[in-house]
Amino acid sequence: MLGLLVFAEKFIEIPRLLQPIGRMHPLVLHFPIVLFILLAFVEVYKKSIGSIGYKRMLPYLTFATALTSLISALMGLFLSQESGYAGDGISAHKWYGIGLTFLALILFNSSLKKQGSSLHSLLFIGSLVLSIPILIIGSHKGANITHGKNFVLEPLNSDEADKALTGEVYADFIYPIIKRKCINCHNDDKTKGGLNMTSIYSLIKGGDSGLSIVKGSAEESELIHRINLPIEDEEHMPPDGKRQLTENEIDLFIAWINEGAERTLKTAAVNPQSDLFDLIKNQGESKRINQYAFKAVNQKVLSSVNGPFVNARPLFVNSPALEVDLFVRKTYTPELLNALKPIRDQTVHLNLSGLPIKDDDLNFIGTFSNLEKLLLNGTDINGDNLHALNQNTKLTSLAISSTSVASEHVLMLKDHPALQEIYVWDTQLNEDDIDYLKAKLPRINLHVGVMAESQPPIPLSPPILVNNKEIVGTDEDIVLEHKLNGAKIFYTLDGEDPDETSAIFNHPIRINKYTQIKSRSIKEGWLPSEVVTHNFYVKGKPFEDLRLLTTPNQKYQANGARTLNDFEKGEINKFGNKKWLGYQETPFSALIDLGADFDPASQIILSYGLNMGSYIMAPTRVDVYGGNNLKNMKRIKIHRLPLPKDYVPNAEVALPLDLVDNQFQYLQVIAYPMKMLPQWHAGAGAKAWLFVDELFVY
Amino acid sequence: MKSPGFDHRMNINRRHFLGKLGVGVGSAALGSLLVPGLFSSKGDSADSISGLTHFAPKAKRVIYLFQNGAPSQLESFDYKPTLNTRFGEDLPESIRGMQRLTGMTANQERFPLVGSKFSFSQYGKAGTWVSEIFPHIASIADDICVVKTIYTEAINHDPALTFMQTGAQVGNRPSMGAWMSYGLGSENENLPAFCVLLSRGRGNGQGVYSKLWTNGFLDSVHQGVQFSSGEDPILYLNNPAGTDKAGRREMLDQLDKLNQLSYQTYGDPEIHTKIQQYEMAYRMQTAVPEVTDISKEPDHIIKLYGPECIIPGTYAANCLLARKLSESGVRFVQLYHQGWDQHDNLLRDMPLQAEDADRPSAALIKDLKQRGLLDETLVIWGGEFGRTNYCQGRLRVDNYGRDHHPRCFSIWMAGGGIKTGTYGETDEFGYNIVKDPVHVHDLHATILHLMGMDHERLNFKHLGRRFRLTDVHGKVVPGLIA
Repeated sequence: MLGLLVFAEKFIEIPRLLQPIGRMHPLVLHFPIVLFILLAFVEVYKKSIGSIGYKRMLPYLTFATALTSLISALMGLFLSQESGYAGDGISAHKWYGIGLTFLALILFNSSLKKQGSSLHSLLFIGSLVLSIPILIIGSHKGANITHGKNFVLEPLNSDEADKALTGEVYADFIYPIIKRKCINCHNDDKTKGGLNMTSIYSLIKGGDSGLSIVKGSAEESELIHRINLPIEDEEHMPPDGKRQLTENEIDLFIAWINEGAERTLKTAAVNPQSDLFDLIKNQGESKRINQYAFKAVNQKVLSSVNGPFVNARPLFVNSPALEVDLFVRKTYTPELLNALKPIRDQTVHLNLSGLPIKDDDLNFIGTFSNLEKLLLNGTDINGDNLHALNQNTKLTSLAISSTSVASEHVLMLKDHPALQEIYVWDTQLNEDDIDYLKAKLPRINLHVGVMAESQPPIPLSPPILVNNKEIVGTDEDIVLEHKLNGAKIFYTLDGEDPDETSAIFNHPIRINKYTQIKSRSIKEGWLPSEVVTHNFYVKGKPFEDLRLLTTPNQKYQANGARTLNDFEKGEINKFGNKKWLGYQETPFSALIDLGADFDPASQIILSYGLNMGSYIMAPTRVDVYGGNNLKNMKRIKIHRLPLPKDYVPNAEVALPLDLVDNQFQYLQVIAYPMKMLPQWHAGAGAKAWLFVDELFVY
Repeated sequence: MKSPGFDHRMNINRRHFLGKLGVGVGSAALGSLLVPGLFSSKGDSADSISGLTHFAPKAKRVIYLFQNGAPSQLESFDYKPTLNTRFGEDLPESIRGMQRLTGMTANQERFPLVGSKFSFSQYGKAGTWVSEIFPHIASIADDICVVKTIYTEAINHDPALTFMQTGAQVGNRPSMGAWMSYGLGSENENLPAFCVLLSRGRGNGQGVYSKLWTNGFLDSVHQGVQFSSGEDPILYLNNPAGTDKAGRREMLDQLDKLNQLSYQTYGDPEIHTKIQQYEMAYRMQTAVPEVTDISKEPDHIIKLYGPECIIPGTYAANCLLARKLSESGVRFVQLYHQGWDQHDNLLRDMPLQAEDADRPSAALIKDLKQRGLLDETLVIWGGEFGRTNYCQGRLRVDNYGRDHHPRCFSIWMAGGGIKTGTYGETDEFGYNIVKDPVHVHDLHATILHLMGMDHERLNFKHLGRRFRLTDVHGKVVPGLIA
């Protein structure tokens, strides 16, 4: 039967029912392998086993070997009848397997007749010796069919990304995917489904289901159809359990087919409007970056270089190239730089920005043979030794911004073999130097940025009020400052806008009444700042008692009446911050008791907020009542405010209410909120808010 | 009674156990000594957290200039003259479709269209449209990519902002910066890998909260560190009064001994983390003042950012600080500039906001470029969603406001491998995307890609499943990559 199968296989069709048996071949074949090895062991150690035991076990052992060999050979033949197994590898494996089976039969036969017959003994030994190499070679061929070629050594092989690019889309981008994910089952030896993907021609030709690729139409291509089937589908490729294609790989396949699936398509010739262009552009760059010929640094060396102030790391996983950064000026020592010696040939990016690097150090940096980008911004170099960088023959980008290099130093790099970019912003160079250098260094791109002299003047920022306190005692200092070196502050107390003829601020100010300070900062090369206005309130008379006669809206009650004399000014942009009392419809009404031995008040200041976008408006009217008896208060002041005609900027407003001939212990202040927002307001018709935060009596 | 030590050993959590196991396998594997790279991840599912990128990165660092409150795309980068010619007409229902509206305009009877009152011009080689209130950003048109077709799912600030920062609308997922810190590690061990800077503009503001820069379920070392505008940029970093540097050193040395003892007893890896954190804080005492000192910046750099940049806590100061932090190796600098929520009074507030944000944003790009850093730094500028093409409230001739709009909005990006020009198109009403949509998840995937990370491989197992910044979504947008 075996003979029949071997010689007449072309005329035989294996019934479907037998196919599962055939598929058990890769499982069963391990029995004869082990038994052959066992036989060899038994033969070698037969003296230790003892001749009786040896003679008894030998027929059983050879029988088992022969039987399992025969069964696995049959199974193998069944399996080979399935589609997808063809080619030289299969046929060699087949003959090795059959040879081994015959040897097993001879071994069984001669083990039965071996007693005393030297011919059979010789036959036995000869067959056994012969079987071992056949076993090894045959198994190897078989393993290649099941697992694919180079399965064992694959992890040792470097990624195909390391190899030079050919410039062809198929070779550089498509075939590597096929090789990773498809070729194990679709090669010259194992053509599952009749498909062989080792060459583009056999790929397009397809397998049992016909053409696998319709050039120019991924949609109609069987390959893409199969890939896109749900993974549970029988026909999905790669089959469930095998490594699947990533989305990016699928996109690449689709784009490549849509662009015509030509083997000779050059990467450079891909239509820039196509998806393919976008997809390969990224990958191409990753591959290019990966093309460093030098060896990676030993991991131990790399760890020893790294520390809190030195960061040296591969550009990405598996890259031999390193990027190296050194940090923190204060803790820098020259040893940190010198310690890079063992990794200098692998360093392609070196960042020393901001460190006290000197010109002498450039000699050492010049020995970094593969350096491509060097950042020396803000270092202490003055450029005398810049020519040392001519040794860095791979250096393409050099940044020396914010250093004191001058034109003649940059000129030293005139004949540099690789330099493309030099960043020289914020150096000694002026516009004439730049023009000169551009003429002298035509190949090099000089990045000069925005030159100081070409910047149009802009206004300075206004002075800042230190402590940010607007309610002060008469013994407290008011201090204005500006952070920019050389900026002067001018100010006025009379409401006029200050200019360079006004008082210059150089010592703290003290005040004894409500004062408006206007100030601005001025510096050469800048436009004067805008004028800032600060309202300073002097802490007023102490109150014996202060009560609210109406309740603020429940959302803005802050700390009740205390809010009005806690000496904390609120900012109206932060009206929710508990420094404001908010009223809607209900008027604000507060009663002040100055105490029995009071000094009569001459002025009240009511401080309210304006934030029209948030519906916070000025009061329409403020009344003051006075009396020495709470039952007999009379109105002593009416103050009406004009209705606003448009939005005004947010502000905290001090409303002074002068009291003439006032002699009263009790004062009541009533402020009426606007009933509804005016017509021009986005919220026209809605209720307006009144926000009050402080009340002073002088 | 069992010893507490025994209890604790049993209780070391699984994450630490697996973490330790991973290090053990990685460092002891004989194979990796014999055959370098044998155990390196080449598989598709392996999520290697090695502090190394998955593939060659284009950007090493990110500066995210978040414009919180959502600046209107229609007054900045998405020029829609149709809205001016159809001023006051109702937005056709066919355009609005089934869009969910906020409570602020859902009950409006009319949706009157309103166009930008600010004029637009084209700038740069690609003819990028920029409105007149962003003259400085217009001047860097050749360095930026305006993406007009970002879209999101959220319609209110907090969920939209949280979505933009963490990839989920509900809180407590790790923020983008935390993922970067987790995936790439720290470049400079003397500064946090993820720094957060806040500023407030003059327009209507919306709050930002620390949940936006949370580490979520990642280790707490990945949390964003907020810099404050006060005297101490990092709170509690300086030695308390009466303690000098030598005293602090001695204290740390003794504390280290105690911690080592307790590590021997309990074996909790958090103790080692703690020791490292103390050491890092000690080094930060030197590094932070160095990086935050702007007194040595020359006048013309101050001018570039605008004079506000010397006032701590302003957007301009934060932009300058962002450059300095990024230059010092901080992986992710996150700015939030608040005040872009122009529901009404847009004509007054938006120019104020733009005035604050325009010059410093452009200055940052110029500054990075002039130092040779722009090609390795990715800068992102934008809000959490867009604004409606119709007026919120009553439309007047001289003022208007816009409600929230998730279906399309504009951001811009620069440097770090981003292409320049514009990307995507919206319809003539500026309401729907007609070409090249970019979902927030896609944006995240693209940002990670530029940083050299596969968004599907950067993940963390938590509560029984693997989480990613892009969760189960997201696709890298090749058209955005140079």
